[in-house]
Amino acid sequence: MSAMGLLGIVMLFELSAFALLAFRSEGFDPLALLFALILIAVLFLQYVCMLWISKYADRFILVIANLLAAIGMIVQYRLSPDTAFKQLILYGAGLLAMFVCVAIMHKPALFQKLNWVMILGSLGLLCVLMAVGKEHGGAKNWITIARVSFQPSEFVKLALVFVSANYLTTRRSWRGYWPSAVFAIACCGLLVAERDLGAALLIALTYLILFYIATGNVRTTLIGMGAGCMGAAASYVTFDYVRARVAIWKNPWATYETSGYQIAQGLMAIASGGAWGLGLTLGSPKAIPAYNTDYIFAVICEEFGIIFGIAVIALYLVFIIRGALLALNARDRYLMLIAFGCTSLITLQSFIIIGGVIKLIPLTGITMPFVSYGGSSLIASMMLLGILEGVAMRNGEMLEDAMDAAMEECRKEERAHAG
Amino acid sequence: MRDNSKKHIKAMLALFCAMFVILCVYLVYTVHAYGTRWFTSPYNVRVQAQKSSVQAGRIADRNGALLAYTRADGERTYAANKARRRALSHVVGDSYGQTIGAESMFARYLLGFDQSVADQFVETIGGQQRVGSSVMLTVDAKLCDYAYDLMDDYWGAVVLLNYKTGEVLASVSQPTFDPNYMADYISGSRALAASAMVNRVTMGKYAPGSTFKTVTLIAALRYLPGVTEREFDCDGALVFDKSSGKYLPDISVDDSDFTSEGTATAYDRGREGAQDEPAQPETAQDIYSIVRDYHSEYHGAISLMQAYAKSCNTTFARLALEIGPKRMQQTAKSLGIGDAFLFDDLLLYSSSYIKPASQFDLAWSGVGQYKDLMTPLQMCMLTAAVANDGVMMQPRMLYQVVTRDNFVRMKQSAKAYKTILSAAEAQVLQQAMLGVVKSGTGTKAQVKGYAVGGKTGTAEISANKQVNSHAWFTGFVQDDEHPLAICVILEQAGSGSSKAAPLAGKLLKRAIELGY
Repeated sequence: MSAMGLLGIVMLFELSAFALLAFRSEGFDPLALLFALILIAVLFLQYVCMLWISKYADRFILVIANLLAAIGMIVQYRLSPDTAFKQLILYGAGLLAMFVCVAIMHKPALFQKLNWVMILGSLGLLCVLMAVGKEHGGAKNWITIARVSFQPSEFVKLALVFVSANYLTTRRSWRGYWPSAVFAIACCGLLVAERDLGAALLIALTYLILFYIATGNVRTTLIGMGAGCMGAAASYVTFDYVRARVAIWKNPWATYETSGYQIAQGLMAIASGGAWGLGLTLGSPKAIPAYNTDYIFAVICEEFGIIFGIAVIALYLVFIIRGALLALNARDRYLMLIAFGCTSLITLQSFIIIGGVIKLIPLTGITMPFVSYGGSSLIASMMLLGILEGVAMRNGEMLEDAMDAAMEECRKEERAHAG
Repeated sequence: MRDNSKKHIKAMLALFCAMFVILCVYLVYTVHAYGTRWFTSPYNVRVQAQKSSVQAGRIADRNGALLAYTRADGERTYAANKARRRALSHVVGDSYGQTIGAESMFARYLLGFDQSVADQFVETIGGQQRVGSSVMLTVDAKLCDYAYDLMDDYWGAVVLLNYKTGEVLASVSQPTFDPNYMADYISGSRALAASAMVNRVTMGKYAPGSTFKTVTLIAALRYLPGVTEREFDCDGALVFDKSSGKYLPDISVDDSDFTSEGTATAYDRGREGAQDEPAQPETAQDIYSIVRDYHSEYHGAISLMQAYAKSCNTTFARLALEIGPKRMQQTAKSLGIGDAFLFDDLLLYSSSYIKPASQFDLAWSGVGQYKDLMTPLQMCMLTAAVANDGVMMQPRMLYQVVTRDNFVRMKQSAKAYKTILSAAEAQVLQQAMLGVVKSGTGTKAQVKGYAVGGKTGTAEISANKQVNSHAWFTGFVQDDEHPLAICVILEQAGSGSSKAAPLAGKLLKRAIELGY
């Protein structure tokens, strides 16, 4: 299917979903239609803009990411129009951040210069979080500055990708790599101490993947994994809350009244939806704690059905495959690692949260990329998208340069023969 | 270096794809396997919420006899006849989510969760009150009434099913309740026996007593070659060392020295020790424990089939000792004892066989008096599988779903749960069970003109002589036209052969008369 066709379908989907929402109660809600029109206009404009910046932009990941964000906003609007409008503003901010990232990726070396700023900034933020962070859902992962709250871990994970890619490209041996490993371990340690297990897991796994890709050193990677497992085992023994998480995962119904409540509610919502869902606005998603952030996948399954839920998983998968292709086509090691690092982040994050919600793995609170409500999460995800688009453009331009050079070579040869 | 990196990226991408495929597969699997459980959970607010917008459909038996309906004023009302309401209370359930019957198991249909969005839209736009589908159950209300009547005031459970299709034809549990008064029970303005809301058919875990000999017999057929040709000597109690539980084959005792505790269940042995007064001189009872026969009636030289027909404890205790704890446990497991069931139509608790530690416990476990626990429905399924040549069918409660415009939306078909016996094993067991009813302990279950097989059980639940035993009978009709399997347990009613077997015989007779 062409990207244009996909774009049309996405717009149609948005329009019909919001039309349904406009008629959901007595009377007609024009704001829902306005919302849909804004979404469609923004989608169309950014599509055109992105292609205007470079014809090499990847259209599929752009449309898919926007579709996921739109699904998120449809669910938000269904739950509460106010939060949906907030999310719309954050989405706008995210778009801005995306285009900034696209621009910076035009000169990726800029990130390399910012290496130490990113390291110190990340560690500093996480340390500050320890001291002044606000607790939310059992994890201390929010900072509030001048009434604006944000979640540093969402940005730390991006910094990790750039820092690791930098060290793993410019250095040739373990002697050169070690600062990146120390950085990853330090981030993990701080995050575990703040009880943000999801983010800690995400960072640990992403670093290991990048390390393996760059060095191909299976032994060290396995040692790293072993150390990670030992760390997980150690945290299971030391921290009560880790043990509690595992116990809830094994049987959420045993502690339904207290800690198992969220998972049990999520499972009931998914089961109630069945294959085709109860229908938009016909479920009771507000019974699930964190219904608009971490648990939004349960709400999607309840109202849109399991088949739609699988479609959402498939959307992520297409996004991931496109991301990996960008990494494979990268003409430069640094870009390759950045592209695959970003892809890994999206993969792991969506797997961890969807797997947690459907009780495949123990639940660790983390947002669903592009879909969940939350500024930090959405903006970080959009930045990720921007970085991937930047890589796509660089790939195209570098390929073009290489082709030009080859053509020039040919012409020279021809002239030499002619001469 | 770079080429290698690309290879690694491809490998990681393959891993990512696999992870997401697992995600999808697990999502489908988990909802398929547990979805009904989760949906019918009493905690699911959606079911209660739906009641305010959708009028729940009717519940009827397989012949259309009305068991539950919603009145015009929205009140949920149950069968007109009080005895029938009480007989079928556990099968039908209640509208407050207190029990797990058809009301909650089939809420998906009753409350219209299965209607398509288009149907819902048409109904809503048309301004009609939304009405859920009606559900017809596999049970015959008349048979349930009769079983309830036969049980008298005994607590316990009766379940009758078709062993070829797995359809449950009758299921009664006592003590029971009246679903019309559920609000009063909850508020406490009307008294109710403590366990009245427990469906003993599916949730009652009982010591199986001699009905468990069927399991021991199957293990013997599997692990002791030539056992059917052997002759056993039933000449007195088996003696065990009291402290270690070790079997002492060379010692015989006069079991009249032993009070009834000698044969009491394993649960009571601890208590018995505590009651011993140290001042008394040491008697045989202080040194030894015994396994003896019911009423100390010994059978002399006896074949395996006779031992089963006469329910000879010592022979089956010897068999259990020979088979060993591990193989006993394996056999129990292969028969589905300990399985966690996930049936769509009913919630069946697991039965259990706990591996005995000492020989004494092992001997008692072979006659169903150790910590073995069976639910009546599972016992019935085991007998049904014997009758059905080894194939255990999935028990079913849902006959069909009918929409408001009398369109049959769904009719369920028979599904095998698993094959637990080979055809040859099933043959031998059928003969053994037919022998029990023909000339053994189960003669009172005979139905004139039909070949009935079965097994009695008398589960001793207390050392106290004043407390009667639980009476068990489980059996089947060997007839292709009337494939019926039954299980009866009457709490503290006495012996299986005198109390449970006659009830089973009468109910089977009535079921055959009704054409099942």
